[in-house]
Amino acid sequence: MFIYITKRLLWVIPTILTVLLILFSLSYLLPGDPADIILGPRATPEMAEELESRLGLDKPWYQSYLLYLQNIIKGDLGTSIFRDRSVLGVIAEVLPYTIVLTLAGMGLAVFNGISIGLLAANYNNSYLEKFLTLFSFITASTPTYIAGVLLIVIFSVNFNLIPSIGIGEGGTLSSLHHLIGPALALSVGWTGYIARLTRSSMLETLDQEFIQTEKSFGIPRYYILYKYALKKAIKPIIAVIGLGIGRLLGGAVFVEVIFNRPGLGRLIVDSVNERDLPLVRGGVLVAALLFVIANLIADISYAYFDPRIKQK
Amino acid sequence: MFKSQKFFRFKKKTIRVIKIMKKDYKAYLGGSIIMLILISAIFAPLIAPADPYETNVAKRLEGPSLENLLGTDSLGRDILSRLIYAARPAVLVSFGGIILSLIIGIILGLLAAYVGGILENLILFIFDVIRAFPPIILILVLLSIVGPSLLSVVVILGVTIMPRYGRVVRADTLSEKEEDFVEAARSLGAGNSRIIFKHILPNIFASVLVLSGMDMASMIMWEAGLSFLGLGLQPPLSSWGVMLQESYQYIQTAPLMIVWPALAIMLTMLGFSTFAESLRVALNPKLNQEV
Amino acid sequence: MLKNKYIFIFITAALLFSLLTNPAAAQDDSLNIAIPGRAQTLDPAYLQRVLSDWPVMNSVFNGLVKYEPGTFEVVPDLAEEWEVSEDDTEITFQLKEGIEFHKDYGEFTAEDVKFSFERIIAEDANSPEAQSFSNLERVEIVDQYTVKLILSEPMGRLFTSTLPFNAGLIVSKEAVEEMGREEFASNPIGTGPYVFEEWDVNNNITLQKNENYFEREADYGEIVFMPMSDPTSQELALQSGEIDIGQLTLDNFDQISQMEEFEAEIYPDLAIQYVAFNTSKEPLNNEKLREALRYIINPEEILVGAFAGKAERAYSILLEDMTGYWKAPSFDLDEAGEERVWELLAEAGYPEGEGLELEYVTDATEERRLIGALIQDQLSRFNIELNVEALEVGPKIDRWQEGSYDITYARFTNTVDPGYNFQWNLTDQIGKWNLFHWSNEEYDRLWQEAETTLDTDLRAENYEEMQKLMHNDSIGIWVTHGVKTPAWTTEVDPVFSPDGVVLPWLITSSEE
Repeated sequence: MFIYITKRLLWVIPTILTVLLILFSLSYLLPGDPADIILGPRATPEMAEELESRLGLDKPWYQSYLLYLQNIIKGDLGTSIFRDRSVLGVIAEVLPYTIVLTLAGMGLAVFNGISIGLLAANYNNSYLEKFLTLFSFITASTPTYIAGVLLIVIFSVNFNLIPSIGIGEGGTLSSLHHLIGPALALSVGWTGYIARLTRSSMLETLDQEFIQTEKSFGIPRYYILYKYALKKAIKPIIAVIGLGIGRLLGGAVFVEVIFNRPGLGRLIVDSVNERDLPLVRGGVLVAALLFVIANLIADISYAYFDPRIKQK
Repeated sequence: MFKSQKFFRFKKKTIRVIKIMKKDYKAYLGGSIIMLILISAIFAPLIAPADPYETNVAKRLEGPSLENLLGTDSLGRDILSRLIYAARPAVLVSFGGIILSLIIGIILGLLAAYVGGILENLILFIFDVIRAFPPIILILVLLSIVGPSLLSVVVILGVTIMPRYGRVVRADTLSEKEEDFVEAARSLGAGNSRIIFKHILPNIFASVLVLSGMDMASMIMWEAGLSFLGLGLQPPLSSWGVMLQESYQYIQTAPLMIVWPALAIMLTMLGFSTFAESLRVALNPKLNQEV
Repeated sequence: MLKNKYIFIFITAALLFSLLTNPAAAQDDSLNIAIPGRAQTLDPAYLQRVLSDWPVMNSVFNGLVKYEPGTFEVVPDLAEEWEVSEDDTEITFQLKEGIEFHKDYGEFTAEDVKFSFERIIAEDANSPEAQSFSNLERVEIVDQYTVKLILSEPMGRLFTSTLPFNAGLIVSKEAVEEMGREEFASNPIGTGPYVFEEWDVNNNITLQKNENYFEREADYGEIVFMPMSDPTSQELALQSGEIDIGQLTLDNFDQISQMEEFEAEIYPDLAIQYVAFNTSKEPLNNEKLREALRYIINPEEILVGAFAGKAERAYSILLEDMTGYWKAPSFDLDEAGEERVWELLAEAGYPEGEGLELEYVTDATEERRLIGALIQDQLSRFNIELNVEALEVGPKIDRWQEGSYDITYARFTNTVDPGYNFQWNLTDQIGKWNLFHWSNEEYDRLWQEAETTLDTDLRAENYEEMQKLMHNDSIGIWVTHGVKTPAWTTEVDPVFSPDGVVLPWLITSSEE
């Protein structure tokens, strides 16, 4: 196990270095003269020159790549073109919102998913089970942005129950209130998945011998269901949470845009649209790092929790 | 001899799978949705009641009527016809993207498994670099480089998803390589290409098929999402995502308008995922859940 | 397991409870105003997107002069009065006395005026506003409250657009020197009716009332500017009570403005949206063909399809009440008859329109796609094929500058100074922002002449002449100036500029 983890960790380093190279090359790949796009018709030649030197376009590419790496090691991701602030500072400001949103979305998905899954497992082969299974397929087939739009139309506009934009102004209550819609929208797709996983994992566990034995001893049904079966069946669910967090990180892009929340996803979308290169690079780098870490945790917890997976 | 034996196994397995799927309502549901989408896409000009590109601003944003069953959009175009025509890019993106990623994935996966050594590590490394980005963010950045169009969406989606197939193909090939019949075929002097096409590919076919069903749902979702962010297809081509984005601003004046493309997207995703799920269960009745 | 259940119940209860409260309701003394985009800098000399930042800038800073609220008439602001020398190259301002900068940065004096203007024209300043002061040589301090602008040549736009706009805003010399430019960009110090408070993660900008303002004190104690680029979200936020003032989408305008809780109004935008033909490339270098297109492309349909019939047709780059306005005749297909168009097409070498294939480059935004689809359909009625390419800003500008397109659609922001608005069609703008790729010596000469005179009649005459030149060459079609559709809750009583930009410090509460 230890060797496996170490190997995986070491493997990450060259991956990230290549990711950095790709991000670096964006300034050569993105179409259009950065000065024109970024500065618009009001740009003077001097401004264009200053911008080019800021983007490192005035040096040979390998020199500026090395410089770029050097700066990153020093923790300097450059300065955002439009915000006159350091990229790291901007990201550090918005990142907590994305993390909270992702965790809240995951929490809702796990809670609702397990509930639905248990219900379905409990009433296996009934119409309720068929309905719940179809329901979880439908939620799993609902893209985040559709869920978000529907939530806004129904609950913000028609009933005025939840706010449609922003993060609230101070106070835990206000923040929670603003989190409901986005977290729910984010959770929808993964809820169906976890529900299906819970159901099948429960059924498999209930099939196993020791539970059959317990049953014959006349131990109450709910006791078996929660005390023994769920405890065992929950392992593969824990195993996919890491994977889910990685996925939800991507879904957060849409949620943040629709609900007008600050966050890493919206930051990347905005900076891509504005061609704020240093910010694009920084944002994508942080997103990739988070994603790699989430996947790493997923792989390790998979190996650890899911008894069916055997390491080669 | 090996060929017929192999073929027999494959046929038997297929019959068994179909038999199991016949009892599963999910197979019918998914299958009929996929058929519906395919028929709409292929026969769009025959089915669609009107020209999806013909504008008529005098009757914009009208509700459902006999003339326009689902109403008209902001340029007075018939929504039903646009919905039917939009099945074309949906099919192109999902099937095109999958076929592309299958081709690249299978080639790279086989190469990695067969050649091994530095090449294998290099290929695995490429997979890992692609997998290091959250897919939607990678797609977003790549699209902003090449510019949005049907072709670039297909290629980028294909490349983004390709490592999944590459890894599965490599892993399966490695374990198939160990199997007796491959060894036997090799000892009888069968060439690599013969072994690959006759023995390995049919065996990894199943797992790849299930995976691709699920991914086709994701592709439809991503394409629509990109359009929603304004990075979709070119006009006059219309996709469900483009229609979704177009109707978002009329959400209060013409709320029904957004319902149709949303339903189309969800239904298609439902179709692909239920069918893939049913197929998965049929192929592997013992094992229950797996990504 | 039991313990977990309690946690779940607790969380659910907390969520339900928070549903019942409504923290969205803003405090009474605070105003939330939506602005169309995120601010990039709060330093007036470096604004890139002047329009979205204007309400913020104008609340924090003052200029020597300003537009009389509700008009584009120039009246004194920080200046008491001014005198223009005979040859129009020396302007002497007498400043108001006793005006204090925010946060104890001292009294406003002639020093600050000199500093504010000279930092823009300084060689290493890289200010996008350098153009606005193109003929300014230097600023002379006569005494503490008297300052003189020395021009190399008369400047037509000085009083119409430079001084009353952001280039003319006065910053605190002491503050900029103490903080440095970068720091100042997020901590602006001015003399305005509101004091800058915070620029937060959500990019909201909070201002507090300036208790010592030299004019009438503002009504509201606090203003929060919230950036929302998408009019749909502004509309939703307005309805859910999160903002007090925002823009409506054109299609929902009627419905929402009729609601009891909201009021709304339509203002013409200070911009020009147009269809441009590439006059230097085959096949549209043929004037006959461009004339035919002027008949075929019907702006009225664009106004209905993409602007919900809310925007007015434009017949000139200029708004109707500007100096030099000239109404170009419209090319009406119904009036001229289809025959005329077929004739023109035949004369241009495309009988029946067959074989004519044109490239159309546009933005990837929703509205522009609709316009593209409409023009495409209009041309297809005459058998002309239009390939629409909806591009991101970067590639689009590339194509514009290379001139690799036949038709494009653009929106250019205007100022109240005609010279500014006409400069993009000059010969030396080809390869930059001259989207017609059109060169006309007479046009260039007339523009130059108008630029260096303060004689309004001469300017008007020249601008009219220039518009006729553009019309005679059929270089494009003016479509609309666009519209702004501000809406507000009936609890507030806002004041707007003639082009629909809110003037935050003049907003009063309608409940008093």
